[in-house]
Amino acid sequence: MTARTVRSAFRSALALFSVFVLQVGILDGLRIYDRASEPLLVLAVAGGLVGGWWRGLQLGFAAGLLYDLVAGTPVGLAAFAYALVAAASGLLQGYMVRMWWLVPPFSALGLCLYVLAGEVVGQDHLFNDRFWLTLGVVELWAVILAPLTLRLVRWAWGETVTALPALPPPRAMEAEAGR
Amino acid sequence: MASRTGRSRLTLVILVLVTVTLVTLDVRNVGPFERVKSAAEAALDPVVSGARRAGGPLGDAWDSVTGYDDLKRENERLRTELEIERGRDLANANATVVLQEYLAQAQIQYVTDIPSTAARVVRQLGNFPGFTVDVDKGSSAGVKVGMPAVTSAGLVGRVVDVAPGRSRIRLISDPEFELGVRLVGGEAVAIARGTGRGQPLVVSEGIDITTPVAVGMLMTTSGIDRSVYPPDIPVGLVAEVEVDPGLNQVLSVQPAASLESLTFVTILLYDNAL
Repeated sequence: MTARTVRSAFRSALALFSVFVLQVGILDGLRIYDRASEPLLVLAVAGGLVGGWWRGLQLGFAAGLLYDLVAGTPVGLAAFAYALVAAASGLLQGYMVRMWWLVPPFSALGLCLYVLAGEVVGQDHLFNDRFWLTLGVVELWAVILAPLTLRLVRWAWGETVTALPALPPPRAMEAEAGR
Repeated sequence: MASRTGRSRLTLVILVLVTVTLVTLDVRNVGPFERVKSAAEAALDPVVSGARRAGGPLGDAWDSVTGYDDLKRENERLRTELEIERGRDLANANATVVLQEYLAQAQIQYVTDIPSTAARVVRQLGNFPGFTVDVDKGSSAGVKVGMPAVTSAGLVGRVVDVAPGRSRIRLISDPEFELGVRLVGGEAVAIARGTGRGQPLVVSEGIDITTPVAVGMLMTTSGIDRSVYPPDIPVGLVAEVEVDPGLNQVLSVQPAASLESLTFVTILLYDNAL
């Protein structure tokens, strides 16, 4: 185990803990129509987008487990949904330069997956007549939280945005075509 | 490429298996798993309560800004209700005495001599409140698993998990919740079950067609031997009566306590059959 791996693991745990404290202490109280944000879900998606499917899956699982323990939902339910959606978002790692706009749709997917998994294991109260309102509020918050969360995850894993190679100047392109 | 796909599939299968196992262990309340879960929750508890205390003023400020209109409307509604109640008080001055006499005749002593502790309900994290609520009193206040929780209106639920400074109460609306009940004024004892948030309890067995039942009758805890509930705690009022093909009466019972808007509960330190 290299020093970089240890540093990365430590920073990941710190990022997870910080988002958890932020959610429990502040963001859960900032409700719109009695609906709250889901920062741990946003963290899971950001983890997948920055670190790829495998690291996203690990971070998503840990974030979901933490959520389950505090929210009183069956342990493993959010862990499953968060891990799966983080892994799915991780499949797009490296394809996008500006990733923040991918966070809201994947967060929506995560929330739907969570409710769907809940239905399967008998938690049918999760889908109620206010679900679409919940989805809207979670999306709104995901848009706000995405840039900061992506930056946090990049810091945790020491990632930097890979710049696309610069396009060649037009003349060079013509010369290339003529050759 | 093929090995990468194979690894992905294997990981996905393992993820599904692990989470299904965890959910199953949790839903079935397997002892060792529950102990580990309780320990983890207890470890997180200081963090959660500390963060909530620190962020509380910000949340209150947000509520006062975003909920101002609601607050104003609720205030007006409560003023109107208060006026109506004042009017009723005058009309019902005698009714209170009559009710006390009725309760005495039916030998109902609603939790008067049982030690108890009042606890504040803590707002649950996230957007999907379940069939449990967390309160800010735990084993350090004498709370134990199995103790009943009530409001002044009636039964709320039962303690299912305890940490030093926190307890979790399973509400009677939980479809997995069952309790023995009896009709006030009658001897028939039956089982009531929860059917979901905002839904009435259902009593489907134990009350045969010969038992006189009317809408509005009060149901209380049965208090039969080794019941975890003391006798005569109001559970709810009969809202509907039907007869099933087996000639049993099926009762819908509207819970006496308002389960959707709990802010404080009283935990009865009653440890019969624990």
